[in-house]
Amino acid sequence: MTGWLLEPLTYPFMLRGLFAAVMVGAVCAVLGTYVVLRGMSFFGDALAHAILPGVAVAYLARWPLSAGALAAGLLAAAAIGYLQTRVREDTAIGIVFSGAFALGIALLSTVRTYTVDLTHFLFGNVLGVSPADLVVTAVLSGGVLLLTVAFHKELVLVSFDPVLATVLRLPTSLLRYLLLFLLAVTVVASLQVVGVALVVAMLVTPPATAYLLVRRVGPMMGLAALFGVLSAVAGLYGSYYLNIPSGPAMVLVCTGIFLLVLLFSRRARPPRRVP
Amino acid sequence: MEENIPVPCEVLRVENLTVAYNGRMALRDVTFTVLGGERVAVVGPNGAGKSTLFKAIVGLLPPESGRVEVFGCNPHQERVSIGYVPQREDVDLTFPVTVGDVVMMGRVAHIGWLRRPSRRDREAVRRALEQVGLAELANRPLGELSGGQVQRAFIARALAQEAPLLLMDEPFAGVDAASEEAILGLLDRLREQRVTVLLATHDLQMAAEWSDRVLLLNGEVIAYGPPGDALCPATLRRVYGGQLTVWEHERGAILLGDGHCSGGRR
Repeated sequence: MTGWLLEPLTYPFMLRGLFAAVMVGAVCAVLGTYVVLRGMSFFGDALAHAILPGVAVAYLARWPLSAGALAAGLLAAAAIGYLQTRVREDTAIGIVFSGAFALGIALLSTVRTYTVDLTHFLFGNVLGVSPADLVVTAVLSGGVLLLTVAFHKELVLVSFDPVLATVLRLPTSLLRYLLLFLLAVTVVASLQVVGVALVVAMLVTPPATAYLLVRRVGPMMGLAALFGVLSAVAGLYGSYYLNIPSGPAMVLVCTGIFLLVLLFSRRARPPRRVP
Repeated sequence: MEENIPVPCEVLRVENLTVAYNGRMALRDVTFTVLGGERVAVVGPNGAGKSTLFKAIVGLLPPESGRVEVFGCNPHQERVSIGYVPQREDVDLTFPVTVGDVVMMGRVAHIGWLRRPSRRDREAVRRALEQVGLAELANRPLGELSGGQVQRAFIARALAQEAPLLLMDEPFAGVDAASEEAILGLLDRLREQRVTVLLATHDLQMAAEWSDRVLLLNGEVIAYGPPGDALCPATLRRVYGGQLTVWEHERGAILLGDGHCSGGRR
C-alpha cells in the first residue's frame, strides 16, 4: 500500500502534481465556503466557463495562460454585473457564461491538436503541471488565502447581514467585489488541476459537506479544506493509475465524501430547539 | 457655587425628511428632534413609514430631500454609531454562526481592519448577552434559538455596538412571553444608562405606557409629543380614520389611564 502511494512520487511531475492538488483543494474549499453561504454557485460555475476564451487567446498567442484567464474572468464578472441591470441576474449569468464558453471552444478548435488541448482545459491535467505552473498556482492560491484570512470577519459580516455592514459603514460593495475577484483568481489557480468545467464542484462540494457537520464558519472552512485536499490528492492518484483526467477523478471523490456524510450526518444532528 | 445641571443634548434631529421607497413616497417632510436619554415610540398603521424612517436614520435609504443629523453628524457621510435592530424576518437562520458570533459582529467596526477581537470586545459581547439574558446560550447555533431568543440576540448585538442611540423595529412582534419580559426589563435598564431609544410599534397601549414621547406617523408626522397629547382622539382619527370607533372603544380608555381594558401587555 505504501509502495502504491509512494512509488509515483519518485517522478518529479507527480510530486509537482501533488503540491498543486493540495493547494487547489484547500483554496477552492476556503473560498467555496463563501460561495456556498452566499448562494453563488451558479455564478462560480459561470465564471469558470467564461475564462475559456481568455485561455484560448493566451494559448494561441503564447502568452501565459493564467494572465489570459484572469483577464477573461474579470471581464466576465464585469459583463454579468452590467447585464443584470438590464435583465434578471441568473439570465445575465446564463448569457455571458454560454456565450464566452462557445467563443473559447471556437477559438481552440482552430488549433491542430484541438481535442487533446480542449480536454486539458476542460477537465484538468494535474500530471502535466510544469514548474512554472506550480509557481503561478502557489502565488495565486497564497494570495487568495492571505486576503481571505485578512478580511475574514468583514467578509462573514457582509455575507450574513449586509444591513449591519452598511450601518457600521463598512464598504459593502468593495467587499463584494473583493469576493468576486478572489473567486476569479481561485478559478484561474485551479485551471491546470481540475479544469474549467468542473471547478465549481471543488468550490461547492467540500464546504457543503462540512456544512452538514459543523455550525460555525471557521470550522466549516477548516473541515472543507481537509475534504478538498483529500479529494484532490485521491483524484491525483486516480488520474495516475486509472489514466482518467484529473478533474473528474477529484470531483468523483468529493461527491463520494459528500454522499457518505449526507447518509451518516442526519442522525448526528437532530433539529434541536430551546424550550 | 451652584452645580451646573446638564442640559439634555440633542441626539437626533430629522429635518424635512422625504424618502421614496419602491418608487413611492414613503415619508413626506418629516421633522422632529429627540433629546439624550428619551424614549420615543414611533407608532402608526402598517405602511405608515416606521421602518422606512429607521432605515433613513441609520443610512440604509438615501433621503430624497431633507436631512438627518445624529449627534450633529450626517449618518450618510460619517461614521456615527447607531444601534439598529431590524425586523426579524430578514435574518438567515441557516447561516452557521453561534449567538456569540452574531453579537461579536456588532463589534466589527470597533475591532478595526486586520485585527482580532480584543479582551475589551469579548467583554462587551459578554455584557450584552447578560443584559438580554442569553449568556448561557453564547455557544448555541443561531438556528437553534426560538423566535424571541433570536430577537434578543440581535438586540444584544446592537448593545455590543455601545451606541448611545438605539433604534428597534417592532421588537415585540412574534415574541414569546419570556423574551417580551426580558426586552421590557432591558429597556428599563437602558433608561438608567441614559441610552436614547426609538421603538417602532403598532401597539398604541405599549407606546402610551412606555414612552416619553410618541411620534404618530402616517406617511407624514401626524403628531409628536407626550403620549397624552400625541395620542388624542383627533390625531388618532386622522391616522386610523374609520377604524377609530374601534380604537376609541377599546384603546381610547387605556390612553386616558383606565386600567379596565389593559389588553395584555404587562
